[in-house]
Amino acid sequence: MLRSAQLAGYAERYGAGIGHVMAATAEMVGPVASHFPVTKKADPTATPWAARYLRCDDSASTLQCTTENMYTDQDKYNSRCWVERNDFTPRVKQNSVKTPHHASWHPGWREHLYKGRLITFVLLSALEHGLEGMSRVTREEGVPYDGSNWHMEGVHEEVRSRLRKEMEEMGESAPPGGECFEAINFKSVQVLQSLTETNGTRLGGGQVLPHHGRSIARIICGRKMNCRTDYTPRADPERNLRGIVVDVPEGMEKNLLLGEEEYGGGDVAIEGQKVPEGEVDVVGLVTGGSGIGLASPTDSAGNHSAQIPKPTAPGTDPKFWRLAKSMVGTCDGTKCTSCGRNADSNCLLYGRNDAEVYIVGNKNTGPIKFEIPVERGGRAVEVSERGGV
Amino acid sequence: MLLATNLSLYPNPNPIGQLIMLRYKAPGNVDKKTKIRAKVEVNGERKVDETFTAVSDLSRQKVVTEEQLVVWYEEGRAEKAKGKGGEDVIRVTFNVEEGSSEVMLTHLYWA
Repeated sequence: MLRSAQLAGYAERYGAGIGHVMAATAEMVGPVASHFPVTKKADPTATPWAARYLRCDDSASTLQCTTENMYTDQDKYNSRCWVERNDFTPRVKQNSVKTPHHASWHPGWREHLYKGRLITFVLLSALEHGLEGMSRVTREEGVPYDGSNWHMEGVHEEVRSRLRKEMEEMGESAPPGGECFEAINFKSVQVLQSLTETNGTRLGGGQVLPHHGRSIARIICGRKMNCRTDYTPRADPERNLRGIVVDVPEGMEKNLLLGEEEYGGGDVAIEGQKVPEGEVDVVGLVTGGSGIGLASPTDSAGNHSAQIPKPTAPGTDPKFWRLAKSMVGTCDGTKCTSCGRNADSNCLLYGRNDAEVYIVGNKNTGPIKFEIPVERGGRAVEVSERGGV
Repeated sequence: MLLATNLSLYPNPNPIGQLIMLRYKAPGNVDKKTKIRAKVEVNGERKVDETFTAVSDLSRQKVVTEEQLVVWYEEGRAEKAKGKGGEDVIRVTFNVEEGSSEVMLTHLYWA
């Protein structure tokens, strides 16, 4: 599929860009595992904090510490549902023991920390390489920095040419779209033929003539696909499905509201998520000590403040389409924002972003109309000489 | 200095039509009479008006399954944009006709 994507010129859709690098980097975890320091059961603190409990057996070539041979559930998961605070008490009683979804197959936060650092290292190295190149070229050629140095079009075309040549040498054909065409199973979808004047042919639901199937496949395999959804997390929470509903009848607007958070402002830090004194605080280094995430401000006595309870009241009028299973807050998958502070939550600090949010209706809710945003062409950003945008 | 992020680096093989895909969920015990009507208007001109039977994986009685329907129409190569800012205004309308099941709209795709 990747090869097909590269040939057709839409490799980025299949993660052939940075996502591919990240996946490849994550796969490095196994090969390098045998070089990890072993955490001794008798003295786990002898192992550096970030490497602790990743390898627990001298003979092991994988990261395989388990609850059986080494750590407790508290070592594997460091999330908590709530930390008591003096300025705010949730209306719903919070789970005090542990957060949900502690599955046996889950690697836990330690492996995630390791993978995250590994991927970050690769990206930072690439960034450094790029900046050094930019610096060198501007020293030699001056400014402005010529677009040919950073546009990827030539690179992608070169990859495509070499791939075509390789395939030809191996006796393989390289049709445009290639395996993408085959990957699309039109039997599973219902297809409408338009009532366009230019064609005039109509197909009933579920029936696809080869000609039309190929036309549709050419769109899917050759164009940038756009999407709107309310599923979370989304990199840009503002790009959602409910935001493109138009001609909203009176009374329906409230049904499409996300609702408000149970409380606002920062959170009290969870003890198990703090970097121990004396260990390398990577986030602290990058942010100058301010850390990532919402931290609740405290006064001189250590009391937390600035919490503003906000009652949540999304509409549920059965006469209209409504948003269901919504996750309130800014669910962009980062730790810098708050997500899931739903008023009915019993685990407000969980921070899990995954939610399948949808707009639900039935025969009594009437029509729902979407206006498809026109998102074509390029985008230009003016950068001043001082670097401001 | 002008930096431009060129989203058109990748070849557009042939602009032959507009494709819209709706992903929706329906309960495993979906009422087989449930129908979804889809209409597409481009610059106020009706391009599509068709009704689909809502489908679901009937083998998973109590599970909500995800399905999709695809709407496709030819753009017409000589058709000129008449909408806002010279771009086409594309509007898609869905409504549930007949049947007792709920339909859950999850994703709207277009290309």
